[in-house]
Amino acid sequence: MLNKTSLRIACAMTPFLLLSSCSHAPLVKMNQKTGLPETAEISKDGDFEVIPVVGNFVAKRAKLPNGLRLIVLKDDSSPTFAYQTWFDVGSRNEVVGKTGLAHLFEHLMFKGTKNHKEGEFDALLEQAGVEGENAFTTNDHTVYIQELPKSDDNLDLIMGLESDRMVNLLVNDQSFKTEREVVQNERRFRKENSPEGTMYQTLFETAFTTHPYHWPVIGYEQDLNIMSSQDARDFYERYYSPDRATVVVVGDVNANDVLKKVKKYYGHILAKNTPDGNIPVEPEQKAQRRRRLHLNIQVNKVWMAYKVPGADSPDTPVFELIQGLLTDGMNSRLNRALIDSGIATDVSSGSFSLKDPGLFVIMTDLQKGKGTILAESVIQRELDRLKNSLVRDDELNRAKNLIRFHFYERMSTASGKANFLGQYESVYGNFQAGIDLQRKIQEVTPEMVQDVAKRYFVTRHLTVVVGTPKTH
Amino acid sequence: MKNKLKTISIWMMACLLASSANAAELYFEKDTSLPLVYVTVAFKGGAAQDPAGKNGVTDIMTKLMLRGTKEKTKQQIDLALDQLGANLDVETRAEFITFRGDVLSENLKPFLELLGEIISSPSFQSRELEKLKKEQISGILDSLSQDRSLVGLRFDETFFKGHPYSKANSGRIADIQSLTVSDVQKQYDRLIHSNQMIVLATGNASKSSVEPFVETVEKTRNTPAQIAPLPDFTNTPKKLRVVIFDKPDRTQTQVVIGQKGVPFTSTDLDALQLANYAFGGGSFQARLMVELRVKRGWTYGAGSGFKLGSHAHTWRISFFPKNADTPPAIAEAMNMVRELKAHGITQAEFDAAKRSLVNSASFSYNTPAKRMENKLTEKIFGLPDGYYRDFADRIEALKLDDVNRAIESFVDPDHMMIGVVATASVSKADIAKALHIPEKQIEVQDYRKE
Repeated sequence: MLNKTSLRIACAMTPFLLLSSCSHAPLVKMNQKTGLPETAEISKDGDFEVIPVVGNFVAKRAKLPNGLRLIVLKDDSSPTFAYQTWFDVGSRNEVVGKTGLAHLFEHLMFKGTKNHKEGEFDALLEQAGVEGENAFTTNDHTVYIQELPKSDDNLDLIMGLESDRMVNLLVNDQSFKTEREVVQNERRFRKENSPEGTMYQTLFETAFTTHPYHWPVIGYEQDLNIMSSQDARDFYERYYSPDRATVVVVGDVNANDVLKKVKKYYGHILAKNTPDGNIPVEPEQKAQRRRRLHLNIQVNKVWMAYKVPGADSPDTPVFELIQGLLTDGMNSRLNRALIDSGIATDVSSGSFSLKDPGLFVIMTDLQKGKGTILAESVIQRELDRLKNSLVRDDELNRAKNLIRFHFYERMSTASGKANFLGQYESVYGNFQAGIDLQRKIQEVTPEMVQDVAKRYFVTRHLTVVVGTPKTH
Repeated sequence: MKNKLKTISIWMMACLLASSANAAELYFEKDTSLPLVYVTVAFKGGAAQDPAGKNGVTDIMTKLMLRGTKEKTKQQIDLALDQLGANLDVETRAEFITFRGDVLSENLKPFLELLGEIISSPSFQSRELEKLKKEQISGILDSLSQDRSLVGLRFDETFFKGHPYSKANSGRIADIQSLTVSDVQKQYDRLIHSNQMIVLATGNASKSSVEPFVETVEKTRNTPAQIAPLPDFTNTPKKLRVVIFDKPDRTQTQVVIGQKGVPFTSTDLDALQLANYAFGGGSFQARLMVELRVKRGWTYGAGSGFKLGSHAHTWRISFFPKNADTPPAIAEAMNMVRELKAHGITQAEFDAAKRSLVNSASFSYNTPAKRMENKLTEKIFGLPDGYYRDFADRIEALKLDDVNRAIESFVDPDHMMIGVVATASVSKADIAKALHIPEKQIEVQDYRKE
């Protein structure tokens, strides 16, 4: 995840244990410093695997015979529940000429089904008092999210609607065409008329030549224009299946009741067991790549990206820590070197937790009149420092504490917990990997930072996109 | 992402422990779920209090307060916050400023001592001021690349020209360039006083642990504040006004259509909030969303909402179509406004809006942080205690006739302003044609002009 630099916290933090009002304390021992379980021990409770998450929170996971995964986490601090459905499909599953199909299809999921005419999905949820009803598509996933006031009726309502559109969606030509135009407008908004969107798209297009991460999640205008409703129906038929889905419920709910209802609403849907297909492998980058864009901006922007492994790499915890060292907090290295020194107004960095090998990106907005060569050289100098000398322990601990703080912040709301569980279950096939990642971050040493910096921050794996003001 | 422009907010208040020690007000709610304490310190008086020719001085002042006290440099403050495991940010809004922090419970005392020092004895160093001015100006220039925020900014500047609500929270570049330490010090002397201070805290601590901070500020900042009362805005457009904020190379426009709104304390606000929900404020079934997006695919987002303050601000509609769809979309939106004024909303829309607002009310007060924000809004804008707690009850009590009477008297299509970020050479003539007005009636202004 990319973090902005505005948060500032922690050095020499003392025990920071997440407490909660959850009444179901785990049986395993929690680490007093991190609040994380000491081991990834799993116990059984009927159909559920019981897995400690953080503090007193325990997640229960079950799998239906059709492959649907269910994760339930009880959090009764609010009389509400978050409901998220994660599908293991994103722009990564698209092919050349059909870019943007996964995202366009996400829009179509709000159209009618065999049982509900167009508009009913939204109307029924709004009447029930839904909050934050939305959806999003990434390179790797498509996610549908809601929060509802706690009640048995509302659990039935959301499961009835979500399971219905998993199998009964209708895509007609007229609604397809209208929604395609909505998506074109979204594309104009996010890319064409947004300098940052244009730079983001260019960065990935330049860094990746073969893998689907090359194209934007929202797709290309020309591909969207020639797409048909049949393409959408084929996509639905191929990828929307219980064996590619994870339902996450977090809130004031009873796990056994939820499982009973999930079996009732989703149990009859047949698995399709569609494989991912042959996703092209990105060849090794052999030389630095650069692009300069002339944009409708008033100050220069510099984005630099290095190739990094996929999220399941053992090096991922180290990249998380490097992000903290470089740009998290006012005392981070690039904040000091770029902002305090009067070169930039903003700097951020991070990787994207992608399934396949991705990018570690550093992005900075410069002050008026400051040149891109200067900013690039300052960033390069700080990366060289990581390679050439060991990070001090106190600096490392500051970064670790910040990461822990962000993790707790993410886990402080029902939707945040659901997002964490869904993301890691979807990326790794097991949300425990997300908890392990937090634990491993705390175990990173100065030597590991230096080793990863040396191996990955190499010139031939670098892509630079520079944005400069256009002259009219 | 399935976007909607959700612009109305509803809150309810849960029980807060409140007290008024001397002049400042302190509100505290215990929450033991995390070993953290969240603290908000607010002062009445924000960017609307910037003197003429000095727009930006309040925002610069608050940021500069974090960059040095009589005892500490910026680096020492940054380091102290890091060592405490604390975060502290400042924000300037039109009618108040806030210092928002969070800190590990065990470090609350030294954090509040530092915060007390920042608020009571800032040093306002000229070197830091000059650095900050450059950062602020570059930040404003960078924000011009975001068309959606740009249209909102330019709309307010143009619609409220001459009124304090026209002032940008982050200021004008020309004004910022000329600010001096003396300007900043004067603004500090005007605004930072304990009798204008509201302190809200929640977390794993006690109210008594926050009281020493309040007492410190009361001792050091105890002279009366000099906040000028804001005048009512009376210079509404004489007829429909159309302004294009001309920006090159646009393939899509950003449209805001607005009129003078109502103050927070208006007795019609609840009825108008319900009407707005049905028209464009938060529902995927709302008229704007259905007509502009669902039926025609003209825009990704479409919504309406009130911008609220102590005085009437605006009620505004926004959407962002491609260039070719902009003229018909603006014309359709204006037709919808006229239709709303003429016929109000239907019984079915009324029932649906009421159910949705009442049933979703629990999300508005389900965390201590939300309850704290509710209390802050109540106090800043002089709303009665329990204003948010009672929102659902007030909505429940509304009748369709109340709502449609409020709509009929409030909605004013003949005195609205349409602000559009667009490439004028591409869009101007067609917008004029769609609105049946002469092209020369459309004002064109460079998007960079403040």
